[in-house]
Amino acid sequence: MTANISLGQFLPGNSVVHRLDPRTKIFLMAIYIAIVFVVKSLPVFLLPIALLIVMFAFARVPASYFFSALRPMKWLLVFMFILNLFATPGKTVWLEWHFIRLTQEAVEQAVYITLRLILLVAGTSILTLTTSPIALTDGLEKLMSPLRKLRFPAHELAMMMTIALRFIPTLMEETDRIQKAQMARGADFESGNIFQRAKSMIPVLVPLFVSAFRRADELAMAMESRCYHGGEGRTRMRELHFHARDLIATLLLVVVLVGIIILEKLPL
Amino acid sequence: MPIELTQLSHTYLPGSALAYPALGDISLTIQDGEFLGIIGHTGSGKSTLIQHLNGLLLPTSGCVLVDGLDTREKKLRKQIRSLVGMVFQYPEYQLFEETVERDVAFGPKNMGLEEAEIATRVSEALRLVGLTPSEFAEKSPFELSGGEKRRAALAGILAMRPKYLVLDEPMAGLDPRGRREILALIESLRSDLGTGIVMVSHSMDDVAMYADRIAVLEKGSLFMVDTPEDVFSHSTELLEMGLNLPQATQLVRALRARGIEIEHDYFRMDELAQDLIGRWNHDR
Repeated sequence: MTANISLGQFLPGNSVVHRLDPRTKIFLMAIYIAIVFVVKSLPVFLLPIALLIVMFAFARVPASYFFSALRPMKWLLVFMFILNLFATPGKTVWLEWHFIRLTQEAVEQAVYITLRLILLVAGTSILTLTTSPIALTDGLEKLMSPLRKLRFPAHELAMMMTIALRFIPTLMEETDRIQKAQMARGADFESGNIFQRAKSMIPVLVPLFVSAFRRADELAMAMESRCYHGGEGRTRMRELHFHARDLIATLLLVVVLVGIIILEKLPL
Repeated sequence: MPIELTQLSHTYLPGSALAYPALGDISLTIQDGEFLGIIGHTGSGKSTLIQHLNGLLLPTSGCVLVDGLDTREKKLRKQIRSLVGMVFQYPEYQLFEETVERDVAFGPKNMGLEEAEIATRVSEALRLVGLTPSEFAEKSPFELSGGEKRRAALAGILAMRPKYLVLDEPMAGLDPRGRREILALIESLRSDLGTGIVMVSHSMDDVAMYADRIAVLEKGSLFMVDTPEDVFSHSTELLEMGLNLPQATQLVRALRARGIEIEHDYFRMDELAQDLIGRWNHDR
């Protein structure tokens, strides 16, 4: 019932992109997002599109993942396109009929926004596809660690994320089990209006919360009995190291970013 | 009328890359009032099999008829689920109401019974599992002890007055006394009310003691269904499957290995003890 939902959607592999340091990848994503937002005209849009294709190729991610990353977004994309198409003010009128007004500026705007969204979602999906959740939280923790001086709980946040990710499948299994147990007692989760359905979830939610708290308690106990006491002085099993490839990848993306900024400034 | 499984197969996530065949070609009839034990190694498909008995899982191919009702028919499912009571592993984790009474009433209420009938059934079920209604009915299920919680959860199923009761490891995690109490309760359900019992268990001694027949599952198929006597005479095969043997069978094997001849394949300790005492007296 609740099987085959892949969260984090990590695709194990050994490509160059997989082997990049997670910190580099998070940083590269920031540059990539900047690139996508700096682009403002159509021919220049070809650059981030080419960049996306190159990234997919280097990561050895099958093209089908491009579409599955976009699938949950499809209605948002359609909605954004239509909204921008009719709600953008413009001067060059292409078509006017009753209250419908189509201008060149609006069409351009709609295309840009939709393209940007697609590029953003597909590009950032490369990060989660090529980085295991553990590596990702490790990287985030390292990146946030300078903030510790400002009493920002970087380690604790990263640990919370790791634990949350770890327990998603467990809780899904638990939900399935409790749901079945209540169905065996004649519970019906499928019929009735939205209020009746929400109410019918109580027999599932109460035991689920009870067991989630119990699990949290047990986990805390187990961690403490293995001398866990927060991030202070804690060493790690997998140390993160930068390699030449991290520098090269960063340089490449910076070059693309600077190039695009110059191209946009140039009067064409 | 019995529960009939005809050439039942079940595949998880069929048609996807993760497709996993859990059960293959299982035909089995569970008679009225019968005590059927189900044994098998972890992952042999026991849980998948029992979830077919009340339509929680539907066969990928083949069919399941409960008193002639097909579990694939959506309209019949509620009726089937009140005929076949299902007690999952650690059933105490399904308690959710504010009072024990209301939790036990959840099943009967879903069956659409009248208030008066529900009240009778609730106090009847509580008494059956040994929780005095006057003492426990108004308590919160979360303040009970582990053993009491399990019995309260069991009462929640019994209040539906199922004709068949399916139990998945009902004694797991209980202390010896709790185990005995649950086993005695199951046995009395069958002898007093004629409830058919299907019990999955890792304890060969419990199955050997109470079951009329035992179904042995191995990697998703039915290795054999027979009386305990016949099943445990295949002790070598059972050991190869990673299963245990009842203590009496183990002792018989150990004695035979030392050259003591025991003609009968005992699987119950009391019978073996009688035999050995008889020999000892004879030798003297």
